[in-house]
Amino acid sequence: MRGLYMAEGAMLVQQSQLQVISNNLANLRTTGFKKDRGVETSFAEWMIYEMSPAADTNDGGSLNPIGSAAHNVATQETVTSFAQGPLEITERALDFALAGNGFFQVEGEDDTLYTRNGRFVLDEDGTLVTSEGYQVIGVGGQIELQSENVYADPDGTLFEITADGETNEVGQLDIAVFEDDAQMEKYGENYFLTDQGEGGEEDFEVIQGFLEGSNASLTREMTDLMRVRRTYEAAQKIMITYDQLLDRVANEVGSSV
Amino acid sequence: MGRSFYNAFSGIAAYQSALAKIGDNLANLNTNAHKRSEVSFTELLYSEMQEKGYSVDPLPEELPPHSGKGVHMYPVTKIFDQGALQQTERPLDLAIEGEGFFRIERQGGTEAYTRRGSFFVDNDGSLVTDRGDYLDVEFDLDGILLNSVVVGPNGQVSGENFEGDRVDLGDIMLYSFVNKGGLFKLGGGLYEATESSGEPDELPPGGNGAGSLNQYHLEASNVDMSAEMVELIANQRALEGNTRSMITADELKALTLLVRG
Repeated sequence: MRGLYMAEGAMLVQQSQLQVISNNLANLRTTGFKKDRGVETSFAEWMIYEMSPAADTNDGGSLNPIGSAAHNVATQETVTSFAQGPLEITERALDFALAGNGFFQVEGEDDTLYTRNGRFVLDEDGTLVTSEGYQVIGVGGQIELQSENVYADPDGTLFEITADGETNEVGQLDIAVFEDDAQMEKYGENYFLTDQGEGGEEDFEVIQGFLEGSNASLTREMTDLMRVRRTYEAAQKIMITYDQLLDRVANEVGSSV
Repeated sequence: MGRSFYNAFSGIAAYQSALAKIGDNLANLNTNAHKRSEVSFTELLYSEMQEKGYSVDPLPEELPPHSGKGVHMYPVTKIFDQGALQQTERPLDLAIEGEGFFRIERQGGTEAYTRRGSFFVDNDGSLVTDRGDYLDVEFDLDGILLNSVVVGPNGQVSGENFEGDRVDLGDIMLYSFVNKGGLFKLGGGLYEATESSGEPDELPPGGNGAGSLNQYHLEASNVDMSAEMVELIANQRALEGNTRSMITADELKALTLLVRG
């Protein structure tokens, strides 16, 4: 009977893999999206014994170890890949991409949220906000602009060009860098949450007029989709075989025909 | 597995809307002063997976397995980049080179803003758009030779009357917004101010942020055909990818049922 549950375990794991892949595919064109991967893990290995009745004794036979096997399989965790997404040109003054590490910081409803999506707009007061209306955090507070006539230095310093042709420094995007990106928790809407403090080596460039595309690739996801499909099918075949075996045990063993 | 269906469905829906927007841009390749819209996407909320097939006891230092819930399209971003200036033969074709808008009084009495500067004279001598809405400045072009009308880059309008005297007719003002992207699109090249766009600043044309006026010119659409074609292909492929994941989810369901076929 153990094999039946193993086949079921394998099928369930492939279903959750499909869930992760289908979400990656849905977000193929989501700005700043970081793809996930389901990590499979096996249960603890158990010793398997064969019971062999000895011909000349009456003690019920002996147990002979025949090796160990994993008890079942499960999805241990989903791991987010923070690999750089492709830089896509937009030529929009308030679009920013990060090449390298780090996150833009915005003031969420309850917490500071981190994102790689640098599409910002101005609200009615000229404050730099995200598409959801969250204020973008600059060094020393929010960033206020008079117009979209700005240019950005690679360190995120913003300069506004006034109507008279003067250039004024108006603020700096506050880029947060962390030791361990793997500790970032997905929050949805392209945002991440984390408890860890900032740290680690800064190695980024703010690039204006570009956005970072999704790091999910169609080719890779389609390959994974095929693998899921075939693995599921194999597990299903095992289940059918087990079913047939059990059918024989229940209905044919011991019958006189 | 039900989740996978909805992930795929959200992707198909999002990329379909994106294709519709690209279609709209391409259809307006030759519409005067048309501003293209750009689509962008965002993930839906994440939740922890507590389903079968997942380890019930993740290692303490690891975040619990999480699962996305697909994608949706952001409200479109209108891109107000300057369109190219095209020369025309009409004295009342005015193109704005800069950030501003003309203010239009609509027939219902409401105000709207436009960059489509193709004006006409109605039977009262007022300046109207091709839809019959009035430019906000009152002009009286009655008794003025139309071909003598001069509109300066600073918005000053003058013309010659039938006696051959040049008379000042008034000034065209422009209006600029802090957040143009927040304007509400009414159709026909008209936009309405909203809470998000903020109230407009009234500025005379000419080099102070509102832009200057170019007579005998119209602003072309800012849709770039080759960029739209690239978008079209990318969204079409993404749509196909999501169709495949829906089909796969369906196949897994079918295989499950076949266990006792």
